[in-house]
Amino acid sequence: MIDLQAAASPPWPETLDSAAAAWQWMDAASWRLAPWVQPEKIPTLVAILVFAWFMFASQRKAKRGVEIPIRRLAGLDALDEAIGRATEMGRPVLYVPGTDEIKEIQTIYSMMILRHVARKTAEYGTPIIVPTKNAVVMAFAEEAVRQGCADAGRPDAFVADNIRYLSDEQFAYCAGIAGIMYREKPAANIYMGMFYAEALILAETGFLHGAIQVAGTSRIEQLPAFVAACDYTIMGEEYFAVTAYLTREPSLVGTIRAGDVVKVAAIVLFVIGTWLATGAQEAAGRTWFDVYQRVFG
Amino acid sequence: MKREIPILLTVICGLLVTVAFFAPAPDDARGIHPTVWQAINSELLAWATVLVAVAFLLGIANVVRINLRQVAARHPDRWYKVVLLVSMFAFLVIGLAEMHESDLPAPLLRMLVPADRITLQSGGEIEGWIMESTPVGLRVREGEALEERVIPHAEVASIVEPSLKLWIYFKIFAPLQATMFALLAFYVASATFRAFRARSLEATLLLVAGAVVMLGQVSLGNEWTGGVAGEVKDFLMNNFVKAAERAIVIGASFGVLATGLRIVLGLERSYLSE
Repeated sequence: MIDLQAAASPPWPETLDSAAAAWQWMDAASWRLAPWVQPEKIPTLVAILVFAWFMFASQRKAKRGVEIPIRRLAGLDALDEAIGRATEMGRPVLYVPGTDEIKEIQTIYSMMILRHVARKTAEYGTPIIVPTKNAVVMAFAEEAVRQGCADAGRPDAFVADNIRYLSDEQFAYCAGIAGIMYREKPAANIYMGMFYAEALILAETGFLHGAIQVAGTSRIEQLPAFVAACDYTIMGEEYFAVTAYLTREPSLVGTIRAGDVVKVAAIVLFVIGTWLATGAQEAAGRTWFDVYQRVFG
Repeated sequence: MKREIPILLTVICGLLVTVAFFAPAPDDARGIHPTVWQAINSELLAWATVLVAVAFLLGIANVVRINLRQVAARHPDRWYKVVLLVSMFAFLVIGLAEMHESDLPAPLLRMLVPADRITLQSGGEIEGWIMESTPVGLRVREGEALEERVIPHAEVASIVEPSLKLWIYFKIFAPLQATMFALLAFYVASATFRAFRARSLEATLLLVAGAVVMLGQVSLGNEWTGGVAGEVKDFLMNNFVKAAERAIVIGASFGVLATGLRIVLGLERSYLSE
């Protein structure tokens, strides 16, 4: 723990009527809080706590029966359409859970979506093929598909051989999926998760085979690839609304509302930051914009 | 209990790692030392690494099971499966052999691991297998019976250590990967061709913006337009594109935060079986 003799503590300012005084107050507070928490992370901690509070409040509201509307998301409606089309054609559905590890939140979320997709395919009696790039993801995918089949009341629809570990190498994995597209001709390709350079190769290969394609990712660099090559793309925040949209479970819908409320607060902060930055253009010494930057990064 | 224990473990580990993230950073000048939270965090990360390594065996088992079954069923593509399995096990054996050179019996060592070449200061050359470099010299297995001896560092002029594992990786695997990556150029062209068809007002705007950005991105395009394309490109990228990107990233970040919180607090359970 802190040795109080090791350094002098900065004094508290007498008033908080200037940016310099606010800066001094932050110095003093940071020095005293340092033994308990990293001072530069306090704004993050506060933001998480505020978000969590909104999340729980919205969940309670949703559980009380207050209807929280979610706008229509064409990409999510298209999931059913894609599975239905594969069923009509008597061909499998290919679900690609991205190329990242399970510690990536998008991959975990992809597993939740996979469970819903597997439930639908089991209901329709359509095979689902899930190639994975990581052995841990493969284990999760097995559980998700098995559970999805159980949710549909069709545990017999689970085929262990359709959950495949291909390779940990990015382009070997990509080549493996292209091979599945050539050989097994899935009628619907669903890409959900974290993607890198392989995104366009996969989506274009799927397009060449005439499959209906639905992609979802919040990785900004690969969104143009999916938008160009897929029939429907779920982007950014929409990706994290998939399970709430599909299940309409109050606790999940509540978190979407919490996100929206906090987004409005963020917009207000952006406006304040822009105003402060404009005012600080030609100001000398410590400005309120410096204080703002120190708090919000 | 089968469901509750994983949730409990998730909550405990998630909270511990979160607390470690905010725990005070060590600062010698102020006498703040690493806390127990940082130690717990490091320990959990080490456990995660071990779990991933163990899970890798599951992956190998999956590859073997699925492909062997197709070979046994005389699937039309069975020869590809055979190539896959043979390649996988050959690489595994070669990799293991290189890792355990000192323990391998002589015939296996000769068969699986290429010999190292040591050139001596005297001009002579020794072919053998370097086990390790000690403060005294190089511990080498050489000769007909592959007996161990130590060659003092002072006597060694140069060493060549060929690796079959690296040869396979760089001469076969890396070019194959580069080939797959190179396909991207053609796919970009075909996807762009479709996306840039001026079928509606939005698509026309996309086409014009895309053309301007492409012109502005290359020196020749800039030269042709007297630098205008470059300026328009910068304007589009720094204003329209960046604004849209930030909006998507901020929205997604809240989604990440909400999902993370739900998982850490044990509210999100749909990724676990029931």
